[in-house]
Amino acid sequence: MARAARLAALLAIAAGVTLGAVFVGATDQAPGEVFAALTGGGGADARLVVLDIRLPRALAAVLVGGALGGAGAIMQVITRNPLAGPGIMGLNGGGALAVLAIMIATPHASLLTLALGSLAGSALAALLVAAIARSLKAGMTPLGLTLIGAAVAALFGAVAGATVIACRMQNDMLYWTVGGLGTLDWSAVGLLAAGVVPAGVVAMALTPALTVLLLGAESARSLGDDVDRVRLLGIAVVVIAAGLSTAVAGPVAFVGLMAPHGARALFGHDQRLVVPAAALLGAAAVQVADVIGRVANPPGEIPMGVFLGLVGAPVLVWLVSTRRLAALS
Amino acid sequence: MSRRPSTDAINATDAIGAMDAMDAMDAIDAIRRRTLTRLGLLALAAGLALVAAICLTGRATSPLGVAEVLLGGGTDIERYVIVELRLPRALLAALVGAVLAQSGLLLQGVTRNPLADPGLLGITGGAGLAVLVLMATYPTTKAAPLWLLPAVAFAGGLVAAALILALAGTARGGIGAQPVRLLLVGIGVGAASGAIAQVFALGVRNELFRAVVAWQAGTLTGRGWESVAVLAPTAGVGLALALVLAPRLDVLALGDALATGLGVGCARVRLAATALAALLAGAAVAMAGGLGFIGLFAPHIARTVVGARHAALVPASAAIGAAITCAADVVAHRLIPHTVLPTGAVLAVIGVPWLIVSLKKLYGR
Repeated sequence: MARAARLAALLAIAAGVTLGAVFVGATDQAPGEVFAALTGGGGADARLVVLDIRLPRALAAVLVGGALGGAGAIMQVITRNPLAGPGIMGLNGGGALAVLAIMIATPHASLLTLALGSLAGSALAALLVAAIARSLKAGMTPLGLTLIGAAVAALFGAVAGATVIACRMQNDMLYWTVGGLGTLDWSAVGLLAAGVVPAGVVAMALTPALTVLLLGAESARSLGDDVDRVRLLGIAVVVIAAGLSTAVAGPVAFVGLMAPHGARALFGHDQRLVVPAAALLGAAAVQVADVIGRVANPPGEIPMGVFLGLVGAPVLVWLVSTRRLAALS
Repeated sequence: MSRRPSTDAINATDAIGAMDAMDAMDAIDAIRRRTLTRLGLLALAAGLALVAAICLTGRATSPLGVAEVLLGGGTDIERYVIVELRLPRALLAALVGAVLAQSGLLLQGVTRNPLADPGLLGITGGAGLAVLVLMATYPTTKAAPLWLLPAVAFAGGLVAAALILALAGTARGGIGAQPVRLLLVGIGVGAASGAIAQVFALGVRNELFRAVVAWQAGTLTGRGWESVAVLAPTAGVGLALALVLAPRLDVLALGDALATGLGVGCARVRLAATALAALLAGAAVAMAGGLGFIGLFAPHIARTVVGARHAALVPASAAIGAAITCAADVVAHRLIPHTVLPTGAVLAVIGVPWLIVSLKKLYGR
């Protein structure tokens, strides 16, 4: 089956860049040493670098990118808006603001506290955008919805930027605020996985219903789907993905917007394939951006969010200015 | 009437319905007088906000105390704080606000889009990128000659404006037909320029990256009299040119067909107004970074105060922009004790709800 082959190819690409990411980094480790460390041998230095620094970081990139890509695909179906995504609709920004607020209130907050705060922030942002959109639904187009989301995201970004500057947190937080995977340990990966993997399972279970939802809420209801439940679960998955990835990697923009478009180009509208494909594309994109950020400017690092913005913003412009946006509605 | 049709006449007939010519002329005079009074009040408000920005940024000083210092009294430290720090900062806030409001007004006229704003349309982003590239060619952020910055920013802003108008113009129905699309294209172009600026800055040196992020947030910190000296003439020339364009912008608002029929070259007016808007936005960005939303709401407020005539809107939105930016700077200083927030963040907190309310009006319910 051609589509299964394509999905397998995507999986291979995502796995390939992730494996490649482990071989690239600030310290020079010969490929042989990295391989030895991965397979249980190697010197103490190589083991430290590969197993405790590079591997968790590469896995975090997969989880963050996968979560955001999949979340974007689900959001685009639920909001019937091809310009939706956790970044552009303000969910990541809401999570980031909550994380900053907690950091200021309790400087030694645990990662779990930050993650829970980030989840709450993302959920509140989703509610805010939904409430605004609902209040002016009449005549509201996907473009208008996206503009509201972008405005709310801009507001969160401005407040977060002001907070970082006002509290002189530039040293610690500047890279995080533009979306970057800094020093990560296994506990961050564990936390991400504990939330993102179950959310992914729920998302996959939802995909047949999401495909039906594309036909319209009325048709889905007449086919026996509980539309409200599908939407609620979908939004819950999106909030978990946005909140947790923001807590770990900062507000990463544009992955959730771009990945579903790539996935639809490959697989059409069957969400059973589009959602996992978007997750794989997102994972690969974040991984590649992170690797480029590590090798582009040694010994410094360029946060991967900056690269994703570099690619994503022109994609947004292209989608808005040339593509027919009726595709999903 | 043999004069060029003015919106005064339209307003008058609108306001009082059908009546004979003499009464209409009287009504026009009354509206003129009312507009002048209101412009005077707006200027007064801008003046008060400027005084507040001098007195209240930092430890509160009474206006009398400030006056005493300006007349040569006070201690050396007081003199330094007032004359070298607060006065130029307040004047800069007023100038930047006036200039950005002007830019927004012109863009709203050109695109016939009530949501246009140099920040939202990405013109500020393009200008900022150009400024950054210039800064990077000097060893430190402050080493670039100040007078060159607005020129470079103008070029960057103009390129961004051309790009956005070209991209959005390809959509069905032209630029004015789809205000939201234009804005999203602008947001995308702005985000792209921002990302390019960040990558570029990180590639050059880390100090520059911090400067970029702080500057993208929009701040008036660290600027002195030199900035005022560069921006003031630009603002003056820009205002004068905007006043020259004002009657043509009035006609443009009637629609391209009618405007062409009345002998106004639409394309030429659009080009001139867009270039002027880019010049003004560029000058402001070069001095204060990404201060957003003033260009959105200052013209809106101006319209409710003085009506739709551009000859009145130009000074009115300048005064309102100056007043709001000065007030925002006071809030940036006083909201959290001992901390100065980026002025741009304060403006965003006002501007985003404003944008959403404007959208609501645009889409009705």
